[in-house]
Amino acid sequence: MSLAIMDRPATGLIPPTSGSFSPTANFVHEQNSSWIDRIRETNVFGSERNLAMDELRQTYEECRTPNWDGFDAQAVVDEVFFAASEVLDSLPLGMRAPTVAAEPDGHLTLEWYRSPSRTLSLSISPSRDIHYAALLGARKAYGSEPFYEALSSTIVDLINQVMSE
Amino acid sequence: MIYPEPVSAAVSEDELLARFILYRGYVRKDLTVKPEAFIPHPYPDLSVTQHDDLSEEDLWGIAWGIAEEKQLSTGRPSVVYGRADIVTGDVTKQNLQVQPWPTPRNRNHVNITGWPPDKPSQKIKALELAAGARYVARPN
Repeated sequence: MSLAIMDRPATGLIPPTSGSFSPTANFVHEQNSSWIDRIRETNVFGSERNLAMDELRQTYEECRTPNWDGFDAQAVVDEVFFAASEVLDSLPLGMRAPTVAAEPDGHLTLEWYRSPSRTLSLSISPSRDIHYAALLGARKAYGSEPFYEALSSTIVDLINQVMSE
Repeated sequence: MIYPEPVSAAVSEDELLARFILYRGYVRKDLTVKPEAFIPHPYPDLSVTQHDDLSEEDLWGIAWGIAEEKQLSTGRPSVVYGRADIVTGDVTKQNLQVQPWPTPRNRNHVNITGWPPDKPSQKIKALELAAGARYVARPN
């Protein structure tokens, strides 16, 4: 069974990040972020995510020059790396972390995988669109959506379906 | 990459097609192939090699040739890690076409054509192809 703790309001409201909010709201947000960072440093909640972040950095380094796949692949640009980092950062605490790769069009991919026929792949584009495709046994799902602060419930639900026992 | 012209010969549904893997990130730790290996970019078609009557030695010879060509054109080392074998029938099931397209260096060269233009539709087809693929590591 997977344990998912939401680290941002379920309403999807964007947390305050500038001085345009009240000092109290900013204080609460800073305390909340600091608490989440401390949890992420623990072995229980943080190790998988940290490994994924390391893999993301390594993939970006390997794929930031053209033709990294030997078949004229496009380079992965900074915008894609930053967007993919944000997607990883936005994963609910306790959720299984994905593995990372790149696609020949310069997108970075995050994959949740149980078997070749039970897998979810997200492609992160420079314009911060997420293109997803999932095989769930005999069923499949695919589509696109923009990424803002958090993954949509559609994608979170697909992750849970792929990774559930 | 120069593709002179297609030929009209049909490829049988049980024919094996090899996608050579020159990036190790396309292979999972359990030695299955990731769908990224089947995304057609920057060309509209996916380049593969028909096994047909080729021996293993011939197949790997083509792979070394591709790596050598890439190394010469980019000036960077190019490594063949292995190949993903897929069955032609699994390709046509995805409403993709298998078009023989011999090149001067590879008479068994084939293009997988008919890819949809949008990324999610490409991805789901790539996932299906990867699910049926068998990874063969390069010989030592």
